[in-house]
Amino acid sequence: MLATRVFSLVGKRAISTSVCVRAHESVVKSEDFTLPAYVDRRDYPLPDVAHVKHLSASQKALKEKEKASWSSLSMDEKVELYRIKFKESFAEMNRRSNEWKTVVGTAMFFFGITALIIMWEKRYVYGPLPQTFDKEWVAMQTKRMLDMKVNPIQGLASKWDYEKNEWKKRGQEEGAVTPDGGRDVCLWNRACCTSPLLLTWSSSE
Amino acid sequence: LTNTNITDAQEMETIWTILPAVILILIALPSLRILYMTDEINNPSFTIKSIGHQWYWTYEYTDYGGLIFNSYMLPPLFLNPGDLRLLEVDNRVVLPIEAPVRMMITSQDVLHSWTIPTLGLKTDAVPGRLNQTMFTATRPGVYYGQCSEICGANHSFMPIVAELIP
Repeated sequence: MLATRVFSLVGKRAISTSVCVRAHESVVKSEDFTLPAYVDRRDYPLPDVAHVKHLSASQKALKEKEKASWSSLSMDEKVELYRIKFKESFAEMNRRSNEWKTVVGTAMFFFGITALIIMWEKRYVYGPLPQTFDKEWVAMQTKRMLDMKVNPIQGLASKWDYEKNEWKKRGQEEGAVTPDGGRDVCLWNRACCTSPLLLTWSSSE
Repeated sequence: LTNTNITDAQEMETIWTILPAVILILIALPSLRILYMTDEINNPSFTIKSIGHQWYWTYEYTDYGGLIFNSYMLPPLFLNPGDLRLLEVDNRVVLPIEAPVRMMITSQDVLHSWTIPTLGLKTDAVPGRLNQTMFTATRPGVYYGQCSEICGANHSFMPIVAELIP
């Protein structure tokens, strides 16, 4: 009936639990989670229990036949034995699915909703930008910073050609070696001289 | 951890514990010495006190007389065209170039921090304590900084502007 000869704690609990389950099978629908369960997992190849718990008569006969030499088993019988023990094969449990499309689609949908919310917020909630963001103001500000020679070595003022009164071309910046005129200026140089104030005032102006 | 291949190598273990410790000490001691040596002896010709309040700075020029004034941020509506928003103040700290200057920095109420990044200065203003920083500027111009220790609602709105004149 039950493995009553194993007197471990788990065994005792399993014993009493399964006794209760069997006694109240009409009331207790699902098995207790403390009992060993079957899982189809890549990283747990040999589950604790077989998939089919209650064997039919033919299955019981097959199990008896399994005790003899296995070479007498046909392919179908071997598969049947496999299916008694396991629910899904590795190939089945690892199969691909189209779930990723649902996930990506839902994520993009919520991006869209967020974009709408942000657009509404910009229109109805935020006040106007300060006047210091106007093009004219930024121009005056930049001129003032150049007059002050702000960051003259590697930063802003180093990008301005004071003789020609214009922004320096690529490769002309201080420290950039241009044997062929084509070498690019180091990228972090740009990052350190680009402030949010000047992003609207690029070197094309 | 009981594999016989990795037990019982007491000599090796002692060596590779003591030797790195010795090496670290040999690195640390000169390093500490150099650290204190970098605190130059400046002989400042000028001392200014900078006192942080919520939310403005007070500067005291008490070497040759008693000049004390407050430095408040200019609100955006009061800016002149071309000014830097949130950085301009009504009264700038005027300092000489090519003269060692000593700044004594403290606070009246909460922690602040007096900073001018382009001059390489950042010193915390601690209430009840006088911190000192020294510098010698070489280029004239206007240098901006912002309070660098969270000090309340207008922490972002108490800038520091130093005007260095020849």
